Order: sequence, then C-alpha cells, then structure tokens
Amino acid sequence: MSTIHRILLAEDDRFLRKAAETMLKRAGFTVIPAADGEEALRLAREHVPDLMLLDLIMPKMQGFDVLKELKGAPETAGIPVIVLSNLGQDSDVQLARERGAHDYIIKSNIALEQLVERVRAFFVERAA
Amino acid sequence: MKILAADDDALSLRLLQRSLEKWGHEVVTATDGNLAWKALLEDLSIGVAIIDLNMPGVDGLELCKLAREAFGERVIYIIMLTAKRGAETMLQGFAAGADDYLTKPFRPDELRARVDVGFRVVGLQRMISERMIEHEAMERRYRELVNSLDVIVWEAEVSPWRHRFMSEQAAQLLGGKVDRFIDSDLWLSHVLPADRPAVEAYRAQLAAGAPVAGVDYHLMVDDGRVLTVRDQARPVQGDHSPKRVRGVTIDVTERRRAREQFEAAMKMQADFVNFASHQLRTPLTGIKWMLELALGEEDGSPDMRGFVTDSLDASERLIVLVNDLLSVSRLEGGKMVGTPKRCDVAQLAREVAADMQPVVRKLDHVLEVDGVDIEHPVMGDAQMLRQVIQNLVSNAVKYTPPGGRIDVVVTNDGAEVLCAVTDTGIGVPESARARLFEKFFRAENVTKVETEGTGLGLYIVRLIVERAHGRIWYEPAESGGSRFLIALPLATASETAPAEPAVQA
Repeated sequence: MSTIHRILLAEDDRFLRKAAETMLKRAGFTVIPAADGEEALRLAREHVPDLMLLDLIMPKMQGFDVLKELKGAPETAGIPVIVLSNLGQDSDVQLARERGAHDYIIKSNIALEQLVERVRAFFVERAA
Repeated sequence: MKILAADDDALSLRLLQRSLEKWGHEVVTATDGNLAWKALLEDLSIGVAIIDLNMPGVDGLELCKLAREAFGERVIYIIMLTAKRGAETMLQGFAAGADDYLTKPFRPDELRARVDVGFRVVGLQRMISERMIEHEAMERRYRELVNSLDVIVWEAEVSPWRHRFMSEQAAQLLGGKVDRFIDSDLWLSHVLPADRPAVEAYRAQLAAGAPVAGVDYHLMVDDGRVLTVRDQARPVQGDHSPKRVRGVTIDVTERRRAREQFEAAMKMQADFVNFASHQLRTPLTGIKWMLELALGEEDGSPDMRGFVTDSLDASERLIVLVNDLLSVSRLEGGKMVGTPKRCDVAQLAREVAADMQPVVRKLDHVLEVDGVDIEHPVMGDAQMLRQVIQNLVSNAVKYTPPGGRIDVVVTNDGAEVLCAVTDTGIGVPESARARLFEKFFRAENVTKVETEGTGLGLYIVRLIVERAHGRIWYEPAESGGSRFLIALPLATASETAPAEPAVQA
C-alpha cells in the first residue's frame, strides 16, 4: 500500500467501534471514529476520508440520512460508503443502495478478519 | 266426501238416499232446514248438498244464504230441489247461492249426472285451495329463509332506481321498517355522500347489462354509525320492463375491521422481530468481535485461549440462532419473499463450494462440484438460494465423518433445474425421513453427533425452496449417506437477464 488509507468509522455501539477500530488500525489503516450520525457527517466534511464504514441505527442522525447528506453535497459525494449494519431486510439493503452505498455488510454475520479483508479488497479493486 | 240430502218429504228423502247410496255415495239426511244446517256445521266432510226448497223452519233458500255467508272458504256444492217450475224460483235459488237446480219429479240419471258434476267441481276447488295453501306456505318459507339470512336480499327496477323487494335484514341494519325502502330509492340516502358516485356508477353498469364485480361502500345508520358493505347484483332474467336487477348487500364491517386488526398485528410482529434481531445482534457482534481480538493477542495461557475459543463458538451459535429465528419469522409471515431475479444455480454452487473449502480441507473431505460449466438459470432470490445450497453442503460436511466425499451435481431437464448434494456420511434413519423438513425436528442419530443444531436449517431451506415454486426431498445415498435434492423451475429465456449481484451476508 503506497498511501495510508483513512477510514471514517461511524458506529454508535462502543464495543463494536472499539473492536473494529483496533482491528483496522492493526491492519495499517488510519481510523477516524464517530459515535453518532451528526459527528459522522461533521468528520466526513472535515476529513473527506478514503472510505466510510457507516452504521444505520445511530443517535442524533440515522445512517440513511447521513448517506443522503453526504451524497447530496459535491464535496462529500465522492466518499465511498460501505454500510455496516445489523439491519438486514431487503428494503434496508435496497434503500442503502439507492442512496449511493457501495456495499452492505451485516455485522453479526462476519468475523473482524473478514471485515478487514472486505475493506482491503475494496481498496485493491479501486486501485485496479 | 259425503253428500247431504235434505227434504221434509220422508218418502222422497228415502228415495233420494237409496239412489245416492246405490251410486256409492255416503249420505247424511236431514228432514228439515234446522237439522240440515246442524249437519252442515257438524260434518265438515260434506261436500255436496241436495236441498229441498220448501221445508219447515229454515227453508232451502235461507239455508243456502246461511251456508254461503258462514262458510266463506269451505266449498259446498248446493243443488236446489223444488216442485215449482219456472224461471223465477230458479233465479231465486241461484241468487241465494245455489250452484245447480233440479225440478221434481226428476229423472234419476239426471240427478246422478248433476251430483257427479257437483263432486267434480268440489274436488277441483278443494285441489285448487290446497295448492294455494301449499303455495302460500312455500312462499312464506322462502320469505323466512331470505329474511333469516344475514345479508340483505333485494330486487330493484333500474332507471329510475326503485326497490321492489328488500329483505328484513335491511331493517335490522338500518333501523325502521323494511317497507320504507320499497317503491323508493331511500336506500341511496343512507349511502355515505362520498360513496354515492361509485354506487351510481355501479348501478348504471348494472342497468346497461354490463358484467359487474360488485361494489364496496359505506352506509350511514340513523344513530351515527357507519357500516362497510359489499354489494353484488345481477340482472334478473326475463322480459321485465323496466329492467330489474337482483342482488345482495353484505355487512362486511366486522370482517374489514378484523382484517385490519390482523394486518396491523402482523406488521407489529414483523417490526418487532426486525427490531429484536437488530438489538440482539448488536451486543452479540460486540462479544464476538472482542473475543476475536482476544484470540489475536500473543499472550495468555493455552487454557485461557481455549476458553476464549469456546466463548467465540457460543457467541457464533447464538448469532446463528437469532438469524434462523429471524428467517423463519419472515418466511412464515410471507415477508421474506426476496427479490426474484434470474440467477444461475451453477454459479451459486461454485461459490458455496469455494466458501466451504477451508472447513472441507480441515476435515479431510473431498468436495466436488459437477455440471456447473454451463448456466442453470432459475428465478429466485440469489442470496436465499445460496443459503439453501450452503445449508445442504454445510450439513453434508458436518454429518460426514472425516475423510468423506461430498458431491454437488447441478443438471437441468429443460423444465427444472436439479441440484443434488450427496455425502458419504451417517445418513438419515428411515423413521426420521418423513419429518426431516419440519420445524425444530432433529433426527436421533444427528443429536448423538452434536447437540448444537437448532432444527431450523432444513425447515428454512424448505420454506425458501417452496417460495421459489420448487421442491425439496431426501433420498438415501448408495454409500449409506444422504442425498438432498432440490428442483426449481428453469428460467425461460424471456425472463430478465442477470441482475446486480446480491449482498454477501
């Protein structure tokens, strides 16, 4: 990896945030953590990260709304977003895709290692 | 039927009686008007009366009048006898109510003929009145039947709309007497104003003779309640002018309310399941990920690593259980229909096989996939169908002792895509085969191997396959192992082309 990718991790559950942050840092990424939707949006505007991992159910602002705000503004519309949620209905997946999410991961169904692999795969795919 | 002979002349009475009896009649005699009247009152089986005009006490004419006044319904054929000749007397007799007239002396065969006519007439009249009584009873029965229905039965003339018949249920439902709806269109005034155009349009269609499915609308009751009703009608066959339609109006208020309540309850349950699964999965994911981190640490005793590994297994089992329960809830509720798109079973089988390679190698199994070089398209939700194959292969891996062989074969016969998963494992005992795809069912030989399964896997698989209009069944394999087969309708060329890949779970 030529540059260190910066990942904005929007996750309100502190255990999940801590676990994902630890693992991603170990894998060599820079992690910017956010604990609610508003913070996530603010940090996204401030840092314009290389990737955003976005939870859907969060206090202050829901992930779906964060996604809408991000994709609606030219300066943040280019940030790729992978939704990381425990909601898994077809309608949720579809709405996230409609609002411009690149991918959708159901947290409970993957191991941390797999999360890191998916993130790595994303950057490899994008570099190609 | 008896015949009454009334004459004050004893001789002529006896003659009369003898003749009548000779002809086979049962005769009642009376020697004066009073006795004759008494006989008529007492003996209801008297159908024909031969009455002498001149008798002491009540005479023949008077008796005739009395009988006609008193017995309105009762049929008696009266033949007047008289010694007087002349039109005057005859007309008096008829005016008093006699049916026939005979002058003494008469020829016996003439009397016989006239008596026979009397019996014929009475017979006919009695038959007619019996028929009428029957007819009335039948009509009453039908009316009662119609009125006992809990729907309103009605008949109306079209253009202008006038109700010609309305069953009692209308009064039950809307109050007042049912008569108020007849020969009017008072009905329409009970229809909620917002619904009137729809009702008018429906009536116009009926009047035009167009086939009409029916109409749902609301009726206002005088006490302020609003009822939801469904109307179904059709034209009455025959040459009625103006045209008539006949129909029923059904009160569906309760039915509608019950359905709305049921739907609300279903939605609430679905929402709850969705919410609960999210709320359960989040902390479970936290536990799992933290344990994974702990395992990634270099330090810690071997015992501690073992405990953490066990905890991780337990947390994963719990997640599988929550996911399975969620799937079952959605599939049973009809919610999880997925997104039917054209997808390739061969590709799904290849993907599943690739995913399973680590555990297959770990257990020294051989897993081979055959028939997947060509496309085997079906219409279904790719993610759900992958779950089906994944589950079958995973079962095969789990219930086959190490060093076994698992074959996944995909074929199609031009109508159905067949996917068979065969193993060299422990198989399913014959006694368990019938219940294999039931909810929570676990075969005995399986629970001996491990006790962790939920008994939901094959049930979910069955629900998904059935949702995709497919079939699933079990066959024992030659090796003593298991063979699970699914058959899904082959997608036709016209069905939509491959869509975007489904989400990886």
